[in-house]
Amino acid sequence: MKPATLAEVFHVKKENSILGTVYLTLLALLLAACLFTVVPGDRGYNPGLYKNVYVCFMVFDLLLFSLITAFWDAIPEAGEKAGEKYRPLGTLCGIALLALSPVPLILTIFMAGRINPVNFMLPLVLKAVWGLALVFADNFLEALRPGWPWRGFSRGLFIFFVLGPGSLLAYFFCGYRQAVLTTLFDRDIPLVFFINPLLSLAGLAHYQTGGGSQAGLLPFYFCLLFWGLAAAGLCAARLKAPGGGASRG
Amino acid sequence: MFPMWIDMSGLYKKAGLLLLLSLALLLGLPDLCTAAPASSGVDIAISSGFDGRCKLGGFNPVLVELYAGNGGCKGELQLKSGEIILKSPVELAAGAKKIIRFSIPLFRPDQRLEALFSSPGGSGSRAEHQPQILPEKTLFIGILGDSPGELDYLKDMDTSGLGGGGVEVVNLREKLDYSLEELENINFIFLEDFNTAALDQSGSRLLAEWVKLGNCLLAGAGDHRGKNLAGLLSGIHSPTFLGEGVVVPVEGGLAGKAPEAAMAVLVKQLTPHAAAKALRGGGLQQRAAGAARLSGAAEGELLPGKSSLYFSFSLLLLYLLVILAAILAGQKIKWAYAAAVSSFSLLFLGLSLYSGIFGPAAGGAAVRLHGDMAVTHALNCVYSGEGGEGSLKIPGASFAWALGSGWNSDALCSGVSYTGGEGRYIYTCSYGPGTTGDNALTLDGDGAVSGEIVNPLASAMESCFLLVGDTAIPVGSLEGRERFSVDYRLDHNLGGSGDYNYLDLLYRAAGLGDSRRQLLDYYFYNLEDDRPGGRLIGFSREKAAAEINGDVENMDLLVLNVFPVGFNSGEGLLNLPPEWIKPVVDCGPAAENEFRREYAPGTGGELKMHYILPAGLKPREISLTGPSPGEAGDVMAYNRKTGAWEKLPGTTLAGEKLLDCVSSGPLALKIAPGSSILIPQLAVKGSEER
Repeated sequence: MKPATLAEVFHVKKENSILGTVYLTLLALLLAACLFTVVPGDRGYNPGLYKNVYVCFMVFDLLLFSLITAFWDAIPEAGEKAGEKYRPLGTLCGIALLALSPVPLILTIFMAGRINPVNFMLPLVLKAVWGLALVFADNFLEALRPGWPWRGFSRGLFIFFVLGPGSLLAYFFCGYRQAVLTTLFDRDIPLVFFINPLLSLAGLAHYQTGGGSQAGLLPFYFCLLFWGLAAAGLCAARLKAPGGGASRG
Repeated sequence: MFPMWIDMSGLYKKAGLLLLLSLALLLGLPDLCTAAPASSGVDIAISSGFDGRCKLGGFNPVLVELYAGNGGCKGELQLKSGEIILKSPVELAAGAKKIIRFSIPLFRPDQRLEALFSSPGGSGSRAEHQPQILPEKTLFIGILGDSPGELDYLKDMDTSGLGGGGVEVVNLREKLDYSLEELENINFIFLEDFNTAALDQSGSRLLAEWVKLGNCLLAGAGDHRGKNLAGLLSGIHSPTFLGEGVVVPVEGGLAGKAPEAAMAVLVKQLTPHAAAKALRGGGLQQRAAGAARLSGAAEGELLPGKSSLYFSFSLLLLYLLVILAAILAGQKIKWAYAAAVSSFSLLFLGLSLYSGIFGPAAGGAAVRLHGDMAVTHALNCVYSGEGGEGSLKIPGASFAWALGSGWNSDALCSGVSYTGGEGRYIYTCSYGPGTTGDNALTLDGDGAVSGEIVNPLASAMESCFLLVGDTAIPVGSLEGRERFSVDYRLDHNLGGSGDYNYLDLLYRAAGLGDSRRQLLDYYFYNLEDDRPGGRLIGFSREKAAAEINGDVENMDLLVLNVFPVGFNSGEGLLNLPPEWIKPVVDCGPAAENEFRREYAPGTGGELKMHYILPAGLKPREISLTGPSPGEAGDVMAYNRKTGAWEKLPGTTLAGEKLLDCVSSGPLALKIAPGSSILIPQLAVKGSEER
């Protein structure tokens, strides 16, 4: 068994790179619409406006990223070949590249608004870890039950339930507790709700652009740790899974 | 040694300890000696003003003398006047004495000055001083000369024709080490028995700049002619214009004259700037605080330019194309996708570093009055992130002033440091050499105007228009140094309008957007541009150097340029339209009201107007436009020959009576309106003196 070359690790499958291009194109269109319609006019300079553009862009980015990850062809090429060891490194690189590809767009927001950049890498890392957890889960399922037809569907369903009803649940809970919220990272929201990456990332972006936070960055790190551990655990489980470690077919 | 002592008897121990202690004291004593005087502070003495007298509403020189005693000191000296704090770093050797120059604006008649020295060690000393602050309308007569006692008679001058304030005769320091803003407090300078040639370069430049701004310098041309009229004044034999101002040699010298004679010379040679200063005061606070009008325009310069947005997005498009190409190449070059993403991320990172987004964002809007000197009033807007501290200094600016609170300035008030606030607005005023282009128009007898006008700037101007009296002539855009000819029949399209309508008509004539209107508003309401003549007005853009937080950066500046336009009559009759000659209005206590073209009587005030005819104009007939006879009371004109106010028979003034009124000074009119009126304007028919 020969080790993977660097080129193989960085190789992104054709189907996946097309998905990545679609993802970037949609984001660029959104940004263009934002900067060319919201901003122009004679109404004076307002840095807060661009900060809001940043927050909205990051939230939309996460939603679109989750959607794209649902279609991401997660089976590493190297693993597809019979008799070869499963190599998670290629998957990791592919997802990381996808997560980092909007960096030029984010920098465009800062340049257009002439605002001091915030650390936009933090949300991107969270996004990548969340995507990795999804893909490793998919790989694990594939190893458990090869050829199961509901695999992709269950992934989509999982994403939908974490982001959609997960956020709704937090909303209803706050209504039930009659909590007075002053910010997204509010102490009245139990930490467990911040497993939802949408809440964590929106809260982080809001905090970064000068919004308040009662809990510091704790909810964000909690979310990052949760999905990081999940991704690592799923990856390890995949490696240990019957037929996963060495070969299949 | 110590282990040995352990076994020794108590007596030895005590003796040893005593020895050690005294050794430590001996070694430490010199240190203690030098430290003691520093902690006891330094001696501070404050002296202020011109000859001890300060003027309200202007910059006043303050000298703070520090004496360090027999230990050196190092720290910071603060001078406080109300909310204004000036700071200067100080380092003094032992026994040294140092005088630190401050320049501080005084806006309250009972303002106290407080000097505070603090060193990093926490020690400090302070001193207080109550300056003698005189009202804004006080005439400050500056004396340059070796025998100022001979000019003491000046304090008996009757100022009823010039605002009626008191007179203060002050001796100016012979080195003239003032700032221009400080010297602007002086209304007139009398120079007698003064070695003008001995003035150093900065002194003569300051004096020349002061005159060029529109002030009047009287120099004795008697016994000391050769001494007075030397250096920058050499070769002057008759009243000579220098910029907007005038240098008047007085035959027979200035010493020991009658006060009336001196006043007669001042009135005869009155310039619009000098008249405005005497009648209304310097208007410093109005200019600085009123600059808030420019905030929208200054912020507008921070908006992303269309071109930079297009550039960014075309690069993003390229990014997408490269990624598509990477997909196609993906079968052969396996790392193409990764390379495309990382290289473009790096490219954009480099681009954002280049565009300076990691530093503060700054932009500004300015109004520049061109003449022999260009005076630039700018509002600079700096966004330097949240909370933090920041500083701004515009190279060459003589005066900087931050709007809002929480700021301080350097000793000469030319740079500002501030804390707090995400965005800050800072007003700056700078003086520089001007360009006029020597534009002149022919105004013939039947109300037509013609001539060739050039854009004096090397850069393009947009939304230009010509202001010929009460007529606005739209010009459009002009390239740098572009010439265009004017052939226009004056239709008085701005005439008979009050402040608001006037500006509205101007905006429409020039087709201005919102942010540009603010510049024109500021020019119209807050800057007193009383010079006679027409104007060429246009907007230009420039990159201005600014020192933001210690780093020099380029800042986008939108500038409203105002150029003077003169007249030439050729041979025929000259016909100056209304508003070509601007009235300098003295309206008593209501002077703080913001009005330019209309007047609302406040406390039953009487309105006095001084119309200063341009030099070289020989008037034949003056007609009055403005208030209708019903709403205004009687219009009175001051007869300079008889020294009495006389009722005007109609709306015109001609013949012998006209000559009586304008022969030895500006035309002065008086009106006691019952209701709100338009300020009367003059139309002059005459010819050019050759």
